[in-house]
Amino acid sequence: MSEATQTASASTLIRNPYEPQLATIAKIIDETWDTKTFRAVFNDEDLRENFTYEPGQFQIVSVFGVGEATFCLTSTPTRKGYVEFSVKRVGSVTTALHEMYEGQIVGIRAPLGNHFPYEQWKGKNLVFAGGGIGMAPMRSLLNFCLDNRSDYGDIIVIYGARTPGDLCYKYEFDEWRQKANLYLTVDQADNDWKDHVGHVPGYLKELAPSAENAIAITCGPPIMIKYILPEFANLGFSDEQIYTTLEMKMKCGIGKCGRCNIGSKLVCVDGPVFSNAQLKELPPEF
Amino acid sequence: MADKILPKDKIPGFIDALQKQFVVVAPVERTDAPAEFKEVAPGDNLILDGSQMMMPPKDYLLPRYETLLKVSARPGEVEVQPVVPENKPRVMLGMWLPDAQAIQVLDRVFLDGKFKDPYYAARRENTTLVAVMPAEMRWSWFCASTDDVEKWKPNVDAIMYDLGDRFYIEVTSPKGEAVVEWDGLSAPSSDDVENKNRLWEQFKSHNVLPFSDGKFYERLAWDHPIWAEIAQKCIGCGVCSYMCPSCSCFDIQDEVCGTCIERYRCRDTCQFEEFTLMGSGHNPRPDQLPRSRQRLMHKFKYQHEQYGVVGCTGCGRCVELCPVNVDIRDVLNKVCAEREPEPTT
Repeated sequence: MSEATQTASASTLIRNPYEPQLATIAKIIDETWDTKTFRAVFNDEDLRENFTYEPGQFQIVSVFGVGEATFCLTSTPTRKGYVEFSVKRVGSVTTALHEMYEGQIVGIRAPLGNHFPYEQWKGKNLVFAGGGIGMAPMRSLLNFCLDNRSDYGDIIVIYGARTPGDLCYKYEFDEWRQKANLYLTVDQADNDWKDHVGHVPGYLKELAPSAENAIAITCGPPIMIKYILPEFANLGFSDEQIYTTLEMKMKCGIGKCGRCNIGSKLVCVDGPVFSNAQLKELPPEF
Repeated sequence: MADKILPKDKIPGFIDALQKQFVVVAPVERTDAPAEFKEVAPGDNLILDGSQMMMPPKDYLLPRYETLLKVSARPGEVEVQPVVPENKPRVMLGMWLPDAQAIQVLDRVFLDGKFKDPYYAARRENTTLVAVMPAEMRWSWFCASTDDVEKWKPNVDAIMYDLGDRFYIEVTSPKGEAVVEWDGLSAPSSDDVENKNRLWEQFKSHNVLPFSDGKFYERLAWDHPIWAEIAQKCIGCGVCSYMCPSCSCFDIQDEVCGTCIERYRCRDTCQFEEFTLMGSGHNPRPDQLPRSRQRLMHKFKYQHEQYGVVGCTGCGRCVELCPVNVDIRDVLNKVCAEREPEPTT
């Protein structure tokens, strides 16, 4: 293009939504054989102190030279000074992230998307049902609710994975047990496993939490979601009482690039959090 | 608003006068490639007769390839510089009216909502759109079937009607006044007005097809058997969306050259497998059927629900260019012939 270009600065531009903010990896936690959690701290002092977000929102992380990938904000805004994201090694950006070490710089565009409507849930009982890496978006909300414990009634957490080694956030289980009712399950136990064995939907049926004055939040692999929704319905949860987050391939995260379009919604701006009632209005694509 | 006449032999003077105030963007002939919309430079041969440009005007407002950021990355030291085009007064001339209406669709996507796209906005916000109404209609055009075209007029700033040896310039917005300020233009005669109106009526009545009752977006059902029919023919080449004046989906990638990284965006299409392929290997649209459905449902139904505009303006490019003759006019006719409209909620 022959067109003259100019460098954007604060004076000529309202924040450019494509511009990532630099952040330094402060901590890397090995969660499982294929998943790591990264804690990143913004390089900009002002941002470090004032950046805030809501549980359920997501971020787009740049590994400069490799590209961008979308991750939920798995940390809670009640614990300031950093953001966290859990990364399962599946593609080029996630592999590049897995090869990074503490002190290296990434770019972050955040916060993006809508959030869990926790304001409307005060005084209610919460039932979390998560499978595998699906615990990542729920962890933000769970820790948020635990940090505002008196706002909520009973909190039940059912969390399952293939094997004990596939469970993430083990270092927080003690806290979750203290402040909530934590039920763990695995598809396949090892010799040391003392908790439940079986799939999450079956365990939910067994535990049978009451739907009265309750909200269900569920996130996990598509197959788990498929079987858990009828279980929640059997327990008396209406579509308005069940929430989940959708995963879709995204590039821009700001409603422009078009790839997360489902029906008249864009997952990146209208989601990623949807109630089951909202999902039923969309084409049955996902 | 005072309409004017531009004799065709005065076009160079008209362009010169505009260039004193504006950057002029128009279809420019090329010897090595199809004509394209670009900033007019001395010696350029403009195509203003309203014959449809193959390359759509979106190529200027939303370039096929555009650098978003430049990043210099050394160990422990990263610097990010956005590369945003300059926002300057521009006039875009010579696009056929439905192509100008397609810019309305782009505007809704890139200027509205929670986030404004700063790159698109820099080229678009200060741009005056001057459309052309050609003397003759083309077989593939079906604009008046997709929408009430009277509604399109205020979406451009002026329209140049091709009356043979002259253009009739109709000013359709206050912004368009600046285009007719040049003293080389004259007042239209009553014949000119009549001829202009005749061209408009010709455009309005051209190819009004059976589906065009304005309700087709309610009749497009997700489970319609037509999607399987299209998918069997479609080879997924994506030409329909690459050449579509309103299709705007894009990809973002990094290109590395030493320590300098360019983050760019380029066209992408819902017709490609990788468009929705996730890192995990899961693809919610794994074959051609959901991809064919997505493109048409998006244009004719979802965008109408989202923005109140129809995503197709009937330019006919996809009809002409599809290598396997998928004709969306036939598709819509079939869908609408078979189905009663669903009740609106």
